[in-house]
Amino acid sequence: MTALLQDLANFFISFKDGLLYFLPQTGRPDRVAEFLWGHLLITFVTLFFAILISVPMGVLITRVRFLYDPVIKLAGMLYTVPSLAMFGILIPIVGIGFTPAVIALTLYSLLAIIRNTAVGIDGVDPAIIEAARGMGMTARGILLQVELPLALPVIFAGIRIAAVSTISLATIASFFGSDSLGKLIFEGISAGGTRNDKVMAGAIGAALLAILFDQVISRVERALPGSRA
Amino acid sequence: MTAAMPMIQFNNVTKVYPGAPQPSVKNLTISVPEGETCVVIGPSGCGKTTTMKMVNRLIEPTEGEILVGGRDIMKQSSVDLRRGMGYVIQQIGLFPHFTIRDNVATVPNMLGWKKERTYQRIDELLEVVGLDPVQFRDRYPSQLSGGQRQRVGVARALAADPPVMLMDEPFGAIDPITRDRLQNEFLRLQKRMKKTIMFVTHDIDEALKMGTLVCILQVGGVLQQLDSPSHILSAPANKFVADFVGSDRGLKKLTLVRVSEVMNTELVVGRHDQSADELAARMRQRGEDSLFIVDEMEHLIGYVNLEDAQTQPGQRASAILQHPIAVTEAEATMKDAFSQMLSNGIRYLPVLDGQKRLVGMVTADDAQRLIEKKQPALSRSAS
Repeated sequence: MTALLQDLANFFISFKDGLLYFLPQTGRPDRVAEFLWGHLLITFVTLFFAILISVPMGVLITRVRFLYDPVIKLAGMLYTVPSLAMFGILIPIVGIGFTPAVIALTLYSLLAIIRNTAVGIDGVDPAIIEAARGMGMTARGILLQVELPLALPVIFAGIRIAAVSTISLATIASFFGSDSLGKLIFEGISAGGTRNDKVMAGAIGAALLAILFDQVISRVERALPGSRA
Repeated sequence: MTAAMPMIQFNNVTKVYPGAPQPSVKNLTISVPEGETCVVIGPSGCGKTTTMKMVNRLIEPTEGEILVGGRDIMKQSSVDLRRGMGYVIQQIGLFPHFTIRDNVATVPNMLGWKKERTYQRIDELLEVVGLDPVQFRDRYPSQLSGGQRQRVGVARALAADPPVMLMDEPFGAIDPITRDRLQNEFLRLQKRMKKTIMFVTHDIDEALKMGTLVCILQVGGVLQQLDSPSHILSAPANKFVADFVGSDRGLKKLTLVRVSEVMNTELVVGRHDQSADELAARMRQRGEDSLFIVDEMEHLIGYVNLEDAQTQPGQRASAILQHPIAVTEAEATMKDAFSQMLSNGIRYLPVLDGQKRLVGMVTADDAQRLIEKKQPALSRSAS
C-alpha cells in the first residue's frame, strides 16, 4: 500500500517536473523547444502530404469503382506494418532523420483519410446529386460544390485520426535520428527510472501538440466553404 | 417556333437498360405542344420516370429521337440542355449546405447572371411560391417544413425561367392537405407561366387534376392512351386504361370539374364588426341558419350560427364567430372538395382564392349532381 502511494507521489512529482520543461526560465529547457518544433514540423509536413495524396485518391476510388477494394486493402496493409519495421525498410533507401519519418507517417495516414473521403462522398444523398445533375451542373461542379463540401465532416474526422496517430508515432521517429519529443522520452527511459520527468515532458508535449492540431483543424474546417454553423 | 411544332416530341423512342431482357420504354411516340402539362402515369415498372429522364438526358435513349423545341437533344451538350429545363424531384434534393437563396440561385449562377439580377429574381420567385423572401432567403433547408422545401424546389427549377419543366412526383412525399394546396398553387402559377411540363405521378387523381394531357403507359413502356383527362375518363382506349382509371369513374368525374366552375358566388356574408342583431336579422330575412364572416380585406375569418346570434344579441360578430372547419380553393377539383366535406362531416365548404379571400361556396349537393349526370362534364377547357 505504501509502495503504491510512493509510486503515485513519484508520478505527480515527475508530472510537475515534466510540466516545468514547458515554462521558460525554470532552468532546464533541455532543448525542449527544439524538440517541440521538430515534432510539429514532422506532423505538419506529414499531414500536408497525406491530405494531398489521400483526398484525391479517395475521390478517385468513388469514381473508378474497381479500384476501391485494392486501394483500401493496400492502405490497410501499410497501416498494419509495425513502425519499427517500417523505419527498418525505409532507412536503407532514404537514410535517417526527417525524411523517413515523414514518409513512414504519411503511409500510416493514408488509410484513415482515403477511406473517410470515399465514405463521405458515398454518403451524400443521391437525390441531391440527381438534382444537381438535372439542373445542368458539371461533374466538376458537383464534386467541388456539392460532394466535397457535404463529405467534409467525414473527411475531417479522418484527418483528425491521422493527426493524432501521426503525433503519437512521431515520437518513435526520433529513434532513427529525427528531432522530435521522442528524444526526451528515450533519454528518460535510458536513464533507468531516474529521469521520469523527461518521459513526462515528452508525453505532455505530444498532448499539447495534439490539442493544438485539433484546434487548427477545426478552424480550417469551419473556414472552408460549404461548412455551416 | 411555329404553333404546330410540339415543344417535346418523342419519335419511336426505345430504352433498353444494359442486361435487361425487356425494354423499359418501347417505340414511344408522343408530342407535347407548347404550354401543355403532360402527366405521364402508369403502374410501377411502366417506364414513366425513364421516359421523363430521357428528356434531359439523365437517361439516354437506346433508339429513336427526342426533340425539345424542335432540336434533337442528342445533338446538344447535356449540360446546356439541362440548364434550359426546370427539374423538380420527389426527394426535392435541395443542397443542405446552401441557404435558400443560394439554392434558388444555382442555375442563374451557372448561367453567369449578374448578382443583382439573380437576387432580384430570387426574391420575386420566393414571393411567387408563397414564401416571404425576407424571412426565408437566408435560412437553410433543414429549417423548413417538407411543403416549404418543395416550394423552394419549384422556385429553384423556375429560377432561369426555362420554357420546359420536368417534374418527377413533385408532391408525392408531402402530406395530403399540403399536397392539395401545393397542387392548387401550382395550377394558379401555371396559368400565368404557360410552361410546357412533363409531370410523372402514380396517382390517377393527381394526373387528372394537374394534366391537360394524360399519357398512360403499360408495363414495358408501351403507350396506351395520350389524351385529355376528360377523354381518358369518357372514352378509355382499351380495357387496361379503363381498369387503370378505376371502377369509380362516376366519382372520378368530379376530378374533372374545378370548384370555381360550380361554386355559388352570390354569397350572403357578414362583416366582423357587425352586431349579432344585424346578422340574425339578415339570416332570418334570407332564410339562412349561418353566415360567413369576413374582415375588411374580404378574408374569411369564420362563421356565425343563427342560434348564437339570437342568444347573444348584444355581441359583435367577432366575439361569437366560430372558426371554419375546412376550406377549399377555386383551383381545387370537386373531388378534393367532396372528400374534404365527407372527412369533416360537413355539407358545404367556403372557397378561397390565392389571396385567401372568400369567393364562393360549394355544397355536397353540387358534387352529387355532378356524379349523377349521365355524361361527364366536359366543360374543362385545355387552358
